[in-house]
Amino acid sequence: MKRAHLRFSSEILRRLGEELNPSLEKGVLELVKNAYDADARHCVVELLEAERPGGAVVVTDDGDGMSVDEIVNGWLVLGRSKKIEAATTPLGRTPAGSKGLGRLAALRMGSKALLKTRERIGEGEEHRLLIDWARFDAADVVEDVVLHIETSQRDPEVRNGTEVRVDNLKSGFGRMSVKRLARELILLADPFGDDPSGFRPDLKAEEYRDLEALVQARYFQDAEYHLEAAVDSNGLARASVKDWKGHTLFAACHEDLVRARGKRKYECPPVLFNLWVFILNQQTFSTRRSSVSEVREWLREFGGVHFYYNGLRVSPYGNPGNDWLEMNLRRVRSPEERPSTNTSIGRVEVGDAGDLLVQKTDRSGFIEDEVFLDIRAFGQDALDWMARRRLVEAEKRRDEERVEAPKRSGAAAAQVEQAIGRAPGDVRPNIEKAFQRYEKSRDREVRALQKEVQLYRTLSTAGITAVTFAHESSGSSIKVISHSVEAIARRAKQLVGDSYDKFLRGPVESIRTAVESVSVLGAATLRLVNHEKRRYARVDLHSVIEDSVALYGPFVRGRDVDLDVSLFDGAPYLRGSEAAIEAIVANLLTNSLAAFEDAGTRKRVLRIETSITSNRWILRVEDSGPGIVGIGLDEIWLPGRSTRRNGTGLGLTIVRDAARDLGGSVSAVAHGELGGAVLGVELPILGS
Amino acid sequence: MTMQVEGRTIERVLIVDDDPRARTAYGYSVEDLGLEALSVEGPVESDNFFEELRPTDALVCDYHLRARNYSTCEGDELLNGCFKEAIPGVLCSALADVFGKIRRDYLRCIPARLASDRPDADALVEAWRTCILEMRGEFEPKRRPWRALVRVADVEPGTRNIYVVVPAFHPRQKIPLDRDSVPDWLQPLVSPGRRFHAQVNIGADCHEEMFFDSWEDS
Repeated sequence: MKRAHLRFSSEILRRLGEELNPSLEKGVLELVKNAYDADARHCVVELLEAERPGGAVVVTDDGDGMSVDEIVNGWLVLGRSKKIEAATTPLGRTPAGSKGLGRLAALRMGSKALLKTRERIGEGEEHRLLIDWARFDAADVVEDVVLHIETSQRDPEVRNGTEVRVDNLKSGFGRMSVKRLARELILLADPFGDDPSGFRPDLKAEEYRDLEALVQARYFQDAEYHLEAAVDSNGLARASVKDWKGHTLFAACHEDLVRARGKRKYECPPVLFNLWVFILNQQTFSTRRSSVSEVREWLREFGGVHFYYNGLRVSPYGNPGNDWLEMNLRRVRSPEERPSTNTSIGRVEVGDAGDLLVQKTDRSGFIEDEVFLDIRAFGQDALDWMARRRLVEAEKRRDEERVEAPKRSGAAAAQVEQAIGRAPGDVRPNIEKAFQRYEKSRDREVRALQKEVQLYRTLSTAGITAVTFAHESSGSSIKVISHSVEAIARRAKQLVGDSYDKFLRGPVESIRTAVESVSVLGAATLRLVNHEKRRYARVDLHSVIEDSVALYGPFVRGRDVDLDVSLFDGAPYLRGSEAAIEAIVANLLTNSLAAFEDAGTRKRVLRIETSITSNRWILRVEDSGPGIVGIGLDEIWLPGRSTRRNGTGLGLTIVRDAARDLGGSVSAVAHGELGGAVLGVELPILGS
Repeated sequence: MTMQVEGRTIERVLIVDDDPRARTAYGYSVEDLGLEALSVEGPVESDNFFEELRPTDALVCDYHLRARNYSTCEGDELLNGCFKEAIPGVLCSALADVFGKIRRDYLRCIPARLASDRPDADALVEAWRTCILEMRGEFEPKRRPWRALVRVADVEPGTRNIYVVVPAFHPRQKIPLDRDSVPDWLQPLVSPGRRFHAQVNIGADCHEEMFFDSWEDS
C-alpha cells in the first residue's frame, strides 16, 4: 500500500492571499491585528519609499514575540484561527483571529518577507525567517519549498516583539491609500473610548499625524444629543438620550424600542451603541467651546457609526459612504429630527466571546446572518425611537412657540416704543409714523400668511373628507347605478326585443357615460393619497402622465375638451416621488379645465407635450382658453393669487413647489399657439 | 333554477355588501342568471359565517364591509374563508384601486375580482369558474404558486410596510407587503436582509397581483 497526501499547488497561495485581500492597506492592517493578538501595546508601521513599486513596509510591535515552535505550528499554518487556541490573551484581548489568510496576503505584497521575533519570556534569542516568494512560484507544490528559521542571540538592548518586513512591494502606496491606512489605524482600537485597550498603532507618515491630532480633538461634549443604547445578555434592550449637559431627556425600555417592529428579543450577543448627534449651525455653537467648522471637519473624517468587535474596529462599517444603519436613507424619508452620517458619530461595541458573529474571509465586514441582522435592527430601532421622541419634543416646542411668539413680539414692540420715546423731540414724530407703517405692513403680512395656512388646512380637510367618504359618496352609489342599469339593459332586451335599440339604448348609454365620469372622482381621490406614491424611487415620467391622462380622461371628455397628448419617444425617468409628478400633471390639467369653464371657451383644446434637452425633461401644457390675463406671469405661481372667483390660488403654487423639490423650474407664456396659456415644467432627469 | 359550472351545481348565491341598495343591485345580476340571490343582512362575523348560512353554493362579496358596522372583517377575509370552505366567490368593488388593499396572504384564495365597470352577469360566472378550477389545482400561469425565495429588503419605519424582493420575479423590484399579511411567528424575524421561502405566483403580470402564502424560515 502506498501512502499519499493532498498537496497544494503554489498557485493556491496567490488565490488564498492576494485575491481575498486585494488592497495594500488591508494587508498592513492584518499585520497590525497580529500585533494586537500578540498583546502588543505599541505597533509601528513604516513605509520605506513605498509610494512607488519596489518599496518596503515594516511593521514592528512590542508584543509577546514567538518561539520557533509557535512560528512553525502557528504563524506558518494557514487556515487555523487563533481563537481556537485561546479565548483571551493575558491582556484580556479576544484574538482578531484571521486564520492567517490576511497575513498571507500581507506577506505577498512584496517579493520577499522577513520575520524577526523575540519572545517576551525566553532565552534572549531572536528568530529570523525569510520567505522568498520566487521560490514558491518556481515550485510545483507548496511543500517542495523548505523554509529555514535561524536563531541567534539577541542584542540585550533590543526589546521583545516582532518585526515583519515586506520588501520589493509589487505596487506603491498612493497618497489616498496612505490616508485610508492612517484612518483605519487610528480608528482600529477605538480612540473615542475611555479605555482603548492600551493598543496604539502608529504610522510614520505625515497624513497620520494630521488625522491623529484631529481624532484626539474629541468634540463629544459639543454634541446636542447623546444616545446610549444597549442589548443585554438576555436580548433585552434599553436606551436613553442625554442633552449636551449630560441630563437625561428620554429613556426607553425594551418594549419602547421594539414596538414598531413587533419583535420580542434580539438574538445577538450584548451590544452597546453610543451615538453623538450634532446640530451644525452657528446658533447652536454660540455657547460651545468649539466652532462649527472644526466639528464639521472632524465629522467629515470620522463621522458615521463604527463597529467595534471584541475591541477592534471592523471595516467597512462607518467608512465614508458606508451607512450600514441606513441613517441617511431614513433621514431622506423623514428629515425632521433625524441624524445623518455627516452630523453624528457613534460606535457599536460587541463583545462576542461565543463567536456568534462571523467575519467574511475577505475582511469586508460580517456575514449578514441573523445575528448581524439583529444587531443592525437594534441600532435602527434605537435610532427610530430617538427620532420619534425628538419629533414629539419638536411638536411641543412648536406649540410653545405659537403661544410665546405673540408675547415676544409685543414685548419687542414695547421696547421699540420706549426707544422712540427717548428719541429727540424733532425726529420722534417721523420715527413713530415709520414704525406705525411698519407695524401695519407686518400685520398685513401675518394676516396673509394666516389666511394661506387656513386655506391649506381647509383643502387638506376637504381631501381627507373626500378620501374617507369615497366609498359612500361615490363607490356605493356607482355600484348600485352600474348594476341596476345593466340589469335594466338585460331585462329590457328580453322584454322589448328590437325596440330596445330604438327607445332605450340611448338613455342607458347616457347613464353608463355619466357613471364613468363620476367614478373618476373617487378613484382619483384614492389614487392621490396612495402611500406608495409618496415614496422616493425611480419615477417613469411618461407612465405617470399616461396614467393621469387615463384617470382624468372621462372628466376631460365630459367637459367637451379635445385632449392631445404628444410624448416624445422614450422613457425618461428621475428619482423622486410619483405623487409629486402626479400633482404637477393634475394641477396643470385642472388649471386648464377651470380656465375653459371660467371663460366659457367654446372650442376647447388641451395639448400635453414633452421634449428633452441635455438631460432635462420639459413638459408643456397648452390650452385654447383665454390665456393669462389680469395677472402678471410671475404672479400666477404665488400662493393665493387667482383670477377666478372661487379659485384657491394654490394649484400652480403646488406645481412650482413640486418642480423645485425635484430640482426643476417652471415657466409661463400668456398666449401660445392655441391662444391660451402655455405652462411649462422643466425637470432634471437621470435618463431616458 | 340551477346552473352547472365546471361540474358544480350553483343554486343559492349569498350577496354580501354593507349597502342594502348594492345588495339589491348585485341581486339583479344573480337573478338574471336564473339563480337565487340571498341578501346577507348582517351583522357578519367571519368566524361562523358559513356555518350559519349553509347551504351556500357561491358568493358575491364587496370589499368594504366595515364602514357601516355591518361586518367585523373586510371582504377579502371573508373570501379567504370562502375559498377554504370550497365555495367559489367573487370580490367586488366600485373602485378598482381598492383591490390593491387586499392582504397578500388572502390574495392566494381570491382569484376573481370584479370592478363595477364590469357589472356583467356573465363575469360572475367566469369568476366562479376560475375559483373552482384553482380549488382543483388548475391555475393560469400568472396565478400558479411556486416555492420562491423572499428577501426582506426594507422595513419602513413608522408604518406597517415591509418591502421584499422575490428574485424569481424580479431581481431588484421591492414589493410592498403589509405586516399583517405575514404570519405571526414570522413577524419578529422580519428585518432587512432576512430571507424566507413562500409560495408566490412568480408569473404574475405585476407585483400588485402577487400573493405570498405558506411562509418558511430559510
